[in-house]
Amino acid sequence: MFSALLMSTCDAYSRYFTDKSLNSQEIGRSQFQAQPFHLVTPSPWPLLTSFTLLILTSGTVIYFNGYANPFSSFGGGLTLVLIGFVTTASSITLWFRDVVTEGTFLGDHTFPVQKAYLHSSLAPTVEIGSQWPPAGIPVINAFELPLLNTILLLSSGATVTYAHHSLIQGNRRGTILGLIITIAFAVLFTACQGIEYSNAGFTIADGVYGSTFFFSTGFHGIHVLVGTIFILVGFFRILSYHVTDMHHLGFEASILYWHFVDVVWLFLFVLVYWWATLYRNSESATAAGLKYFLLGGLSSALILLGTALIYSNTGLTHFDSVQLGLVLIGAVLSIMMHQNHGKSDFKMEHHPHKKVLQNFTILFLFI
Amino acid sequence: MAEIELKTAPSDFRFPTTNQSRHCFTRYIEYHKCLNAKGDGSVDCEKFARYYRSLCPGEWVDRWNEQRANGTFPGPL
Repeated sequence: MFSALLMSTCDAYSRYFTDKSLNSQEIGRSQFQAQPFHLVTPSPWPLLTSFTLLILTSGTVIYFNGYANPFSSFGGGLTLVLIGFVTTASSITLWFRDVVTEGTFLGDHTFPVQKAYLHSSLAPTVEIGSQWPPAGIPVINAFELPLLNTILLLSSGATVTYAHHSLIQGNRRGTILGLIITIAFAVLFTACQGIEYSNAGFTIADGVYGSTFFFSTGFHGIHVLVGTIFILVGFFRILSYHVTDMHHLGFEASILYWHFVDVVWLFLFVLVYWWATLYRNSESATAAGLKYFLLGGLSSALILLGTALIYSNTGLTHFDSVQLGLVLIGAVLSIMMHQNHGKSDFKMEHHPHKKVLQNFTILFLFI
Repeated sequence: MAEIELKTAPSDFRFPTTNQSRHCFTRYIEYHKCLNAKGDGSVDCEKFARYYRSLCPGEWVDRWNEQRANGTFPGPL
């Protein structure tokens, strides 16, 4: 009975997906769409699968409890289990087939088309004069409050990491201090955004510039508020001794969320505040922007190089371990220097600690 | 009787798409920039006028002329 039901459903469904009346080329469902919306087509699989799962579960329970099969003795009482298994497997297979069809062949654009959409979404239309910002918009200078906000958020990322590492090492004072600073930075950020909003020379309703500006930064702002609350919850739970140095998943999640908010801000800063307000026709402005970008990239590379050098020579990433390692290296170094003191054949370059000296020099540069 | 020569704006590699709205708009701006630089009635600017008139719908040109007269034209002139 169930296999008959399954077969008839399959038939109806495959007729639905393949229009046989267009018999010349066997045009499939994947090649045309009757309406312009991306809708998921009505599907029999959720309901059918719930029935097959019911048969499978109840059949198995009946079998486990040693009851005789109410329908037949075929299969030693396993009939319902087998029917349930086969129908469930079939439904899942057909359901997955439809999901794959939908995901691969419907409503998806090729990469060049997606690229074209992105390109045209970044090109202001003729109606607003083909330029961005549109004429007469008093834009916000990216290197005033927004730059301060960038520094605030990046610093809060650093302090929350400090709090986390303190927590892992059982340093309660450091954890609480780090979190207080982090929350202070977060609140300051929100306050600065509030000042910026109340002083903006445009509103969310007076044109496409204000709409997109407040949409993007407003969504980010809401996420900042949520992140602040998230970290606050972690903070109060640490204050109340709810967590241990090993078990604090909620706090870790709040940190991850905070970093996500931070990264989104970096994109907003570059796109909304800096790039979108650039005086595209001013050579000096573009040159200055490019210099900031290149110097920023260079300094990031230098910091990475320093970090890599410290790690490759000490094998450590925790700051206090690195500090301890350096103290030990310094002690060993001074003993060796002392031992070699007064010897005429002493040459720095023949000694293994030459590398250590170099590392000290490099480390000093980064402190 | 002299032959009347009919021709539209030449294709421009800056505007490779089928939709030529931006081409029309750019030629309109180039014409007015040219007038600003070389003075009204300059012969050098006439080709830009021919281009934008071939490409732009009449209503658009009327609207833009009106906007320039009111000082509300959004383009970079």
